[in-house]
Amino acid sequence: MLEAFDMETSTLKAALLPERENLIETLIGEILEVAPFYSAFPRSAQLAMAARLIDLYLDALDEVKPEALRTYGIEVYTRRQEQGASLLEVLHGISIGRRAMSRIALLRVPMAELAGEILTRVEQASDELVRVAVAVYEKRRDTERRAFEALEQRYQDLYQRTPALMHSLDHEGRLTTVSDRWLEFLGYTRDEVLGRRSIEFVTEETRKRALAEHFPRLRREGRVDGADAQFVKKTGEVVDARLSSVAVRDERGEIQQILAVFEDVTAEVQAIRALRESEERWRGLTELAPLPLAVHKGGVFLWVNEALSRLLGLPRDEIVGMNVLRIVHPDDHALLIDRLRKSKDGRIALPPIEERYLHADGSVIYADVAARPILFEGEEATQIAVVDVTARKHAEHVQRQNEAQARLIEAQEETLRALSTPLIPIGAGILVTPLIGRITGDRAAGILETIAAGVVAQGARVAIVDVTGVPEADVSVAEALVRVAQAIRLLGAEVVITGIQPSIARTLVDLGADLGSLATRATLRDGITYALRHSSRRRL
Amino acid sequence: MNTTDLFLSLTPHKVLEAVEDAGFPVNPLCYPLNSFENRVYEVELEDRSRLVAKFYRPGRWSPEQILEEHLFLADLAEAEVPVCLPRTLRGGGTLGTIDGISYCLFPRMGGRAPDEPDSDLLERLGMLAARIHNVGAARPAVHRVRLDADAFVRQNVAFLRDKGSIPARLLARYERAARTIADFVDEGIQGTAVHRIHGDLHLGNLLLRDGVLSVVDFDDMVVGPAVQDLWLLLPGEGVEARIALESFLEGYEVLRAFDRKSLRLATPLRGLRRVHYAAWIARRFHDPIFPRTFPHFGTEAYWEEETRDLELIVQMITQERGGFEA
Repeated sequence: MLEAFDMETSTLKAALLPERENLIETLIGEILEVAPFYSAFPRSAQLAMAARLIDLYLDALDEVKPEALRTYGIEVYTRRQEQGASLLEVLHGISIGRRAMSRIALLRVPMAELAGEILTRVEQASDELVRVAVAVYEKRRDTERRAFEALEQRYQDLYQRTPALMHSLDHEGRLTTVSDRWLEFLGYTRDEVLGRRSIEFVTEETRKRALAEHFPRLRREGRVDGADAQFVKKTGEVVDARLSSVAVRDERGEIQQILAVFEDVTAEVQAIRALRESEERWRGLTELAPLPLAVHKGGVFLWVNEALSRLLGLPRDEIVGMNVLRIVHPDDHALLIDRLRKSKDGRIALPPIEERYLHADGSVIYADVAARPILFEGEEATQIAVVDVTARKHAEHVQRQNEAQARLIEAQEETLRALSTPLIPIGAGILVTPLIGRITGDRAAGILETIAAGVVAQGARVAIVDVTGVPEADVSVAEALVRVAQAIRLLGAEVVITGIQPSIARTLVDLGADLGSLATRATLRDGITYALRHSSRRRL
Repeated sequence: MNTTDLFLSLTPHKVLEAVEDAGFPVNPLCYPLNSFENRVYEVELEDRSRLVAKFYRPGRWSPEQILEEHLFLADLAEAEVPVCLPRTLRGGGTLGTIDGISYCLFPRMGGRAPDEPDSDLLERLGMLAARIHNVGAARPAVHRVRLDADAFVRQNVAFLRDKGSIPARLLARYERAARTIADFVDEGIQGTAVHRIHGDLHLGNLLLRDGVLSVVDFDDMVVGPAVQDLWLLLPGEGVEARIALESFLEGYEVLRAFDRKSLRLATPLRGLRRVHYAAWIARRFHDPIFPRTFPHFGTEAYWEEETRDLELIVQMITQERGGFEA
């Protein structure tokens, strides 16, 4: 084909015209590799597009016509842009066309000078097309940017005026927008904060948590809700905040920006802190208190002190989480359940009651239990104070037993007393008093009273005191018998002592008691006989 | 002749002494590394590891300016941008002084400059530059030089003229071209955001190792427009250059918005650098290393070429304006 070029008769365009189809195919083949945009078109459209560009280059070989190139560029590249081609893809088209033309020129035109001329003109055409393409894209970009900036401005106005504490960050965590309220609250101007990283405005602790937890979670899950954070005002004052953020991703899934809003919870946090401090103080006081104390909610222990742990013989961590019923005596379960119900889960104070608990060793603990509502770690619960009354209960029990025994003894003694001085009227003014058992001083006095009262009441003239049942007699017995006889005699009656045992007789003798005034008989029968006789005689 | 900036006292012995003073016991081994502006040595420590000791040219930067360079590096490192952080010296801080010469120590950083970038690498470079600029924009640098036409063009032209460096027959042309470039820089920089930038971000200041791209040599860090860190990485003109630019911006704009209007500054900044470079050689020419390295400097041919190139740049700017206005 080289010989086909005739310098005299041919133009440069004519020299390369036979390669037109080849150039078009080359352009299509290469452009599809680097500019995916063109692959969306049917083959016929690709051919038409490539042909227009190659023809433009071929025309430029004879004369570079900037106006023609510009007209082509403005028309074609405006359309390409509307169709979605990137500037890069358009530039690739120009570049591939230029390279193809240059290659063919070097092959087809034998003379270096002419080949150089061809390359220069292709270069000029290519540069002109690039200028136009860039200008078209820049113009469009400017228009879009202005529209975007106007939109952005409206958005910024809205954003800035919102009463919320809002900020947005770029993908690197730098502040790109902040609301007026944000600035007012933290005390900065917009110029002082935009472009700086948001973590520059928080405490060190929050910064660490943001880097270690919040940002990774934002990347992973796309949002973080209600995170605790501490911001630092320009004055240095630290404020507590609850921060929520959401990540906005681009079409490739990369985080483009982060929108965040936070609320000032300083007062709330301070209240919680005060409550916590109060709880700490309460714990400090109650942990080591000797009085067993516990907090439960709905019957489940939330906290117990050491004293209660000792009382029940169980470790504290074992009690916490345990149902109250586990440590209450089964017989008191119904009582406890009723009490829980009445207290409406601890919201109403109830008067103290006595309950029985079970020690770990199975023994029963008696306790007076007082309960009152309490706010524990922010929740309504019931605090109970337990007074161990087991010892008192045992003491009371023993006392009750003792009292009963004492009462029994008293009754027995009364009976005994009654039985110990029986008065048996056997008629005809005769009373018989058989005495059984040891006679103490008190008993002697009682005997005296009983017989005296009986003599008077019965109008007896003879009182027989039978001492057969008295095992022994001491001085007091002898004296008592003497005193009884003297007293009865003063009442106008006579005393007959019967059944004196040898030991008593000896004592009486040893005492030297004056028994001359006493009638004595060996047995009760002898005494009755004597009395009957003596009585009838006296009646006569 | 001003010799205060010539490192005359910086013998190898002093280099080792400086590193020891900084708290790093050394073996008596130090190797000079290639640097015209500063003096840089690789020093072997007692444990056989190596440090790079950088001695700043006296009189060029104040300690505050150098510390702003170190602060920028620290900010970048915190943002996980791969840079080489100066070591903390004994007694704290990163900047030492020996015989009036400021110095700092860097860990040795291996790697090679990346090859001519393809579109993938360009996209990565764009992302890297964007990350540097995100960090750069987050904090001001009040002591560092601001990249503008006065400091980098007009004052340099005045210096060259006053020094009689430019041949008389070329002076007017050179000045006219340079002045035009300065005006274009002024015009382009107006309304363009400026912040801390690398300032000399070319492929030679990038290290590629194990797939990681690191940035080194922040010696020319300035406060300037982002586009300054862009054009040095990209080829000059034509459709391939534009493709490279678009690939770079594809990466950049993933991480940071780029003001495309500032692209019109690229060619004026190319001119600015050209003038600044010539003045820099002229200023340092009393340093023996400069005549050896730039024997051509100061000749008629040199200035002829410089003038022609500046005029060409003016022409390109004018042409680009046409394109932008289409």
